Order: sequence, then C-alpha cells, then structure tokens
Amino acid sequence: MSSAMINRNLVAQVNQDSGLLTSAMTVVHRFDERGEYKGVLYDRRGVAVGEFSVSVGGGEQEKSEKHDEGGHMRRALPMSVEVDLTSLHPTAASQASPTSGREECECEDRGAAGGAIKVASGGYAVFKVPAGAAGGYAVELYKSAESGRGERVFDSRALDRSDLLAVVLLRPGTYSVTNSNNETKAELTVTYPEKPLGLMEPVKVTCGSAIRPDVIRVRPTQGLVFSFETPSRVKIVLVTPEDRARPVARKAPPGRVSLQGAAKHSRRLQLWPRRSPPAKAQLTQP
Amino acid sequence: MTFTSNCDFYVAIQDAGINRAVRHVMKQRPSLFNYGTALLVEEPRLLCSPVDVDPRVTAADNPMVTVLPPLPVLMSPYRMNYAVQLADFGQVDFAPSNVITLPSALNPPLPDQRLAVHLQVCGGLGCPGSEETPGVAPIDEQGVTVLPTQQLDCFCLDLFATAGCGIHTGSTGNQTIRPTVDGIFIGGLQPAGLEESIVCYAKTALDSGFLPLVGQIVSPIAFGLLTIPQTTTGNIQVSGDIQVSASTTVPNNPAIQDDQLEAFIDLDKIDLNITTGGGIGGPGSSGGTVTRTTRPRTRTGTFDLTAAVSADAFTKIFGAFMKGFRFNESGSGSYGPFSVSYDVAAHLEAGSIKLLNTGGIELRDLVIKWDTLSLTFGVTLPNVCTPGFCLVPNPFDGCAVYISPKCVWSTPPTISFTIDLGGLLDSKVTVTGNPKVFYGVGSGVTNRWQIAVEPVLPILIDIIDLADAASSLFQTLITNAIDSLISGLPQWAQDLINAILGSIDDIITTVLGIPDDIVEWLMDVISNLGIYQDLADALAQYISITIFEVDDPFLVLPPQGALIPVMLPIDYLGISVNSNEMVVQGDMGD
Repeated sequence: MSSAMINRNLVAQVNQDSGLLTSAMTVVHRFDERGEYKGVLYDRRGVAVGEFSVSVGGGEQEKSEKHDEGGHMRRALPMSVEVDLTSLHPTAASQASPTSGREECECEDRGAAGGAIKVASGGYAVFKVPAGAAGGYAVELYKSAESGRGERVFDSRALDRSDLLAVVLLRPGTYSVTNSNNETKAELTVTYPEKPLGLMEPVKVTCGSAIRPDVIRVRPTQGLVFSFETPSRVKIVLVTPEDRARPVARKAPPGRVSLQGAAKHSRRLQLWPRRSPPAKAQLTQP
Repeated sequence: MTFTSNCDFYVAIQDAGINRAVRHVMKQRPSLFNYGTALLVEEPRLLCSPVDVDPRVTAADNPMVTVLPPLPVLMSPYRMNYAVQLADFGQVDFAPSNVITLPSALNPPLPDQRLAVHLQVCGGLGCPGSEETPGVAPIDEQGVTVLPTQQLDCFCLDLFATAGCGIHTGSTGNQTIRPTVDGIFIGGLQPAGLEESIVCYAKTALDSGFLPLVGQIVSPIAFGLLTIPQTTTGNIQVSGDIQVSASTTVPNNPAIQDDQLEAFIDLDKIDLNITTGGGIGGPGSSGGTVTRTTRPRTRTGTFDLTAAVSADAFTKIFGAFMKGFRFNESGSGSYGPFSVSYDVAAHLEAGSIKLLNTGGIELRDLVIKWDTLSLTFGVTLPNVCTPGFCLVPNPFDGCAVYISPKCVWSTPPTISFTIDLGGLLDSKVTVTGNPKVFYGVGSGVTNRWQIAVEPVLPILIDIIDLADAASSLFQTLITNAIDSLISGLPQWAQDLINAILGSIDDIITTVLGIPDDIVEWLMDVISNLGIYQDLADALAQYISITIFEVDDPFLVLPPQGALIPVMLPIDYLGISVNSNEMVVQGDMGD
C-alpha cells in the first residue's frame, strides 16, 4: 500500500482567516513602485518569526531579455514570485525553497535563502503556505528607508486595492464570510461533492463597503478570488457543515461484460521452451 | 505385427540371446562351471576340457575351478583327485528346433511350445601311477594321503533335455511359472540301466527340486508387486509400484515359439510417486556426467530381446506420470502502469494420451488446473489535487499569477491488491514427445543406454476462457484498495476524493488505461508476465525425463570376494512407437 502521507491540514483546516494564512489561502500583492522592501512574517500568536527582503526593479522594459557587458544573456526579472511562508519561518518544518518563479527559472539569488526576493516593477509577490504545513501566518511589507522600515505597503490582515486573495475550500457546508475590518458579511455555501467536478471558473468576490455578492455558492475545490476596495481581513467560518451518511459498503460497479460472445477469450499460444531439455549432456542419475 | 493384442506387456527372449549370455557367464565366472580338487587349481592343464576365460579373469588371478574335497578310496586312508566340468553348456533351443539335433530317444522333432537343452559334462579321475600305488605312497600326519597323479582319466557325456513351461494360475500377485522337464537323454552311457538310473535321478531332481525353485524365484519378479527404484531426471524423482499378472487370454503363456520364450503380462495396478525439487545431482546422484550419443544396430534378424507395452497400458502409466506434474512459479514484472508479482501453482488433469503412428506420444488437451494464479498488482494513482487556476492573466505571457493545485497526498499514492484467478482460468495444453534411445558415454560413471522423451516443439497452450467474474473481482479489489487508501478521512473528504478521481470505471479506463474488456486485459497480463512460457518450460523438462536406463555392460553377478563381476554387454537398444504399442528391442553383445 502507499507510503504517501495525507496532507491532513487540507482537510482539518476548515475555517480560514487572511490574517492567519493557511494552505487554503493565497495572498497576492502587486508592487507598483520600484525599490527595496522589507517583509515581516508573524505566526499565529502575532509574534514576528521571520524577515525577508524584496527588490522591485526594472519594469516593463526588463521583461525582455538583456545582455550584460560581457555579451552574456541575462534573464529578466519575473512578473511574479511565489513566497513559501514556511521557508521564512526558521522553525517551520517545510523544506521548500522560499521562493519559486512561475517559470522555475535558474534565478540568480531569487531563490536563495537570505537573499532578496526580486520581482519586476508591476509584478506580484504570491504568499502561500504549502499543503503539508499548518500555516497560520500574517505578512507585512515595508518600503525600505535609509534607517529601518519605512512606510507599510502591505498587511495580510488589511488587504487593499493592490492585493488579491485566492481561497479554495473543500469542506461542504454553509460558511459565514466576514470582513472583520468593517464587519460586512456574506453567506457562502460549499456544495457536497456528488459528481465529477470537472473544470470550474473561480468565483469573484469584492470586499468594499459590502461584500459582493453577499450570497456565494461554490463547489468544493472551486476557487474564490477576493479583490478589495477597502482594507479588509477576510474570515471564513463554517456555520453548518453538510455531512452525508457513510455507505454501509461501497459497491463495486457491475462487472464489465466482455465485448465478445461465448468462448470469447479463446487464444492459442505456441511456445518454445527457453530451457532446452537435456539432449546431449546431463548429469547422470543411477 | 502387434505384440500386445492380448496383453498389456510383452517380453520375448530369443534362444540365441540366452546362449550368448550363458557363454559370457562361463567365461567371466568359470569357477561356476568347473569343479575339482586343489590339484586342478594348481594344474588346470590336467582338466578334461580346456577352459576359455575372459582376460579379466586371468588379470584378476581368479580361479577357474571351485575346489572340492578329494574322493575317498573305500576302506583306505587314501583320497583321489578328480574333476567335474560343465564343459559346454551347449545351447538352449526354443521351438521350432534349429540349433540342437535331438537324439532319437527324445522323439524329434521338438514339439511346439517346447524347448531343448544340450549340455556336455566331462569328468576325470586322477589315477595314480605305479610309483604312487597305495601302500607305497607315504601317509601324512592326519592319516590321509591324496594320491598324486600326472593326468586325469577323462570322459565326456552329452546330455539332452526337453522341457516346457506353464503358469500356475493363482490370485493376483501369486501366479507362478512352472518349468517342467519332459525327457532327458544321456548319450554313450552303458549299460542301459546305468543311463536310466542317472536320467531318473536327474529328472526327479530337476522337477521336484531345481525347477520349482527357479519358478519361485522368477515368478514374483514377473507377476508380483514390482517396486520401481527411484529414478531422477533433472529435479524430478519417480518411484512407485506396478502390479502385473499373467495374461489369460492367450493360448500359451509363456509361449515357446519362433525361437523365443514369450511372456504375456497384464497391468493390474500402478502407483507412481513423483516429486520435484532437489535439483540435478540430488539424492542418489553419483556425480558423473553422461554425454548422449546415438549408436546404430550392427546385427540383423530377430532381436535378442523384445519388450512391448500396449497403448492402453502406456496410457495408464504415462497418465499416472503426468498426474505427478506440478508447476510452481513466482516472479514479478510490469505491465503498463502496473507492477505485478505473481505466485502460481498448477497441475494437469484429464485430456488424452495417445501413441502415434508417426512414432510419438501425444498428450492432447490436458486441462491445466490452476491451483493458484495469484497476481498482486501495484499501481500509483494520480494525486488528488484542487484545480489550479490563473489569478492574474498576463496579456504578454499567459498568466502572471497562477494559484497552484493543493494535493491531498505528499506524493502520488500507491495501491496494491491481489487477485487469484486460479478457479477462473480455463486452459489446456497439448504437447507431443518422441521417445528416443541414446547411448550415454559416461565420464566418471559407466556407459549406459537411455530411453528419454524429446518434446516436439512448439508446445500448444489453449486459453479457452477467463470467467467474466474475473472482471467483477478485479473492479471490486480496486474499489476496496482505494477505499482502504482513504478510509482514515472523514466521509465528506472521501466523497470529494471520489468525485475528483471519478467512478471506478473512469479510474480503470482513464487513470489506469485498462481497456473496456478487463478479462482480455488480464489475460494479456498473464501472458506478458511469462507465466505460460514458464509452464511450457516446466512441462518440456518434465516429459523429457529419462524413462529407462540400463548400464552397459549390465551387471549380472556382483563381485564376490576377489571374483570379478559378471557383466553382459548390450550391443543395441532401439525403440519404436505406433498407435498400438511401444516396442523396445535389443541385442546382446558378443
């Protein structure tokens, strides 16, 4: 049987909070200005547990490939960079690389621990927690100043116009969706998985003075994409779970009957023995 | 000509073969035929008839004469030297008579169903010369003196006898062969009363003493429970018992005709014990090697020995042999996305065994009973993941921000399950073999004649069908394996995984790539794992067992003290098969 481990957090973490990011939530921040940024990672208790740097440069002109002075081709800055939050937390168990470009490129120091995360101007930082990790992180970004931190430009507990939140829920049931910063609410239903899910477009939700739409219905694994008009912290709480009884015994489908008629699988094999019987020489037997 | 029209086994020995065998014994163990006092051992030139011996006898310094005590001289302390020789065993002549010219006293010609024997017996007495006359020669300390002599006064008598042979009917396993003497004639013996007395004595001794003893010795061998000594070929050991009895459907049994002594025997019961394993060189192996060659016949005419087994008897024996076939194999391989290990056991039942006019043995439609046909499948399923999607499209590069899938397992999970198709696969095998005779040239062991079956290739395996139940079973096992994989999750999560994976039909068809006809697919798996090939290999090895083997030369009398063993050379052994019987014929060497 399989030695693969089940990522139980995917199943166990039912309630979600953009201020306590788990693998079900991915937060995206767009950098509109070049410059150097400092990031701070907070754990579930609100304690800063890691820092990182982001270097935003280039812009549209750097999307194309460049040549350095030696004439060697140099890769352009990526338009997005994924940041595995567990890798920024020294005590987290994840072995994952802190960042990975969308193109799995051999980026200079973009992926190296301790090095600055580099992204093009107008590009995106994608903060996520891998499926096997517990998560519970919050992230802040500050513009770097000559002495220490400058202006705060991003806070996962107060997502704003430059940010997007992607949520994927699995547990069927009725949820409340709350923007805890202005106490606006919506009702979300995750339907019970009954038939093949197929391809599903993500459902878009806007958090402003209200959450629009205020009644949301998705199928499990279907994406929810939140955009923001006002600083928001999105909390999704399961109100009424939907459960179904376990079948007494799962039935195998009826046997697939052969496509042919009687004696349907008849075949004749002509076989030549691989080990020739003793013909010329053999050990003797009395 | 069919030898076994009225019996299961037929054995015939030609008189010329018996005569050759006796001559070999006389030359290799002369002391069995020559008796005399110690003087004759020291001075064999004094014997009445010169003795022809094998050079190995001389080389081993074996005696030509068995020593007997000297002949007492009545009412005196003296003893005399003497010799008695079976100087010429002569011939055995089976009817019709064409070897021995019978004296008129025995009413020639030799009647049907009778045999004649001619012996020459020589005797001689060591008469002392004038210098060694009694009263002159000294008497030794024991008071006994063997009178010296320079020569024996010899005489030779020709003894002719006619005899018949019958079988006393008893219960199975207790039948006895009864040789009976019809008449004896000793030529040149006078007066008539002396001849009659000696003939009477000889006939009485033969009829009531010697011949019943011969019958008692021979009968259990012919009609008793025969134990087959364990023979080994490759890793197959065969032993067992055969119960035979004299056929009662022939007018004469044994029959003496066509210069042969013929016996007609029925097969009553056969029990074979066949075991496999132990490998070549197992218990009893003497460790040498034998290289098989072929040797043509050099003699012409009737064979010295003819033995035949009827098609019915052969079918019984070979059927019992084939029942002992056991196939056990295990291994592993891969097929498509699956890893497959197998554990197989099978034996053969039913079917037909026939002797063919083409000289072969056909085993047709033997049912392969799959005692175990256990296949353990292992397959890696695709991980169950949420669908990824593009969060921020990029007009220049497709997607600027992509939300990656989140997967249930750390790595794609593997399931395994075992299906036993043993009772569901209907298959048969047909194989033909040609029995052949080989002359094995030994290295480290004696040369030998061998009869073995050579399989005629290819071996045909007919796959009749695999029951549709195999399809249902396969699907149930996959279902159960997947259920087991996710059994630790809450029901909603199991339902979600099932919704993502799709139905079992979808998994089988789409994920595992198994076509609609699962049964056909399973049969392909079995074929591709080489299970049928393994079976064909095992079967070919099994039927190629050495079914008969005899050393050349063949041991008749074992060494006795310093006496060399008596061996009979086997000049030729041949085999032929037709639809009625299998016949083995052979010649004794000179």
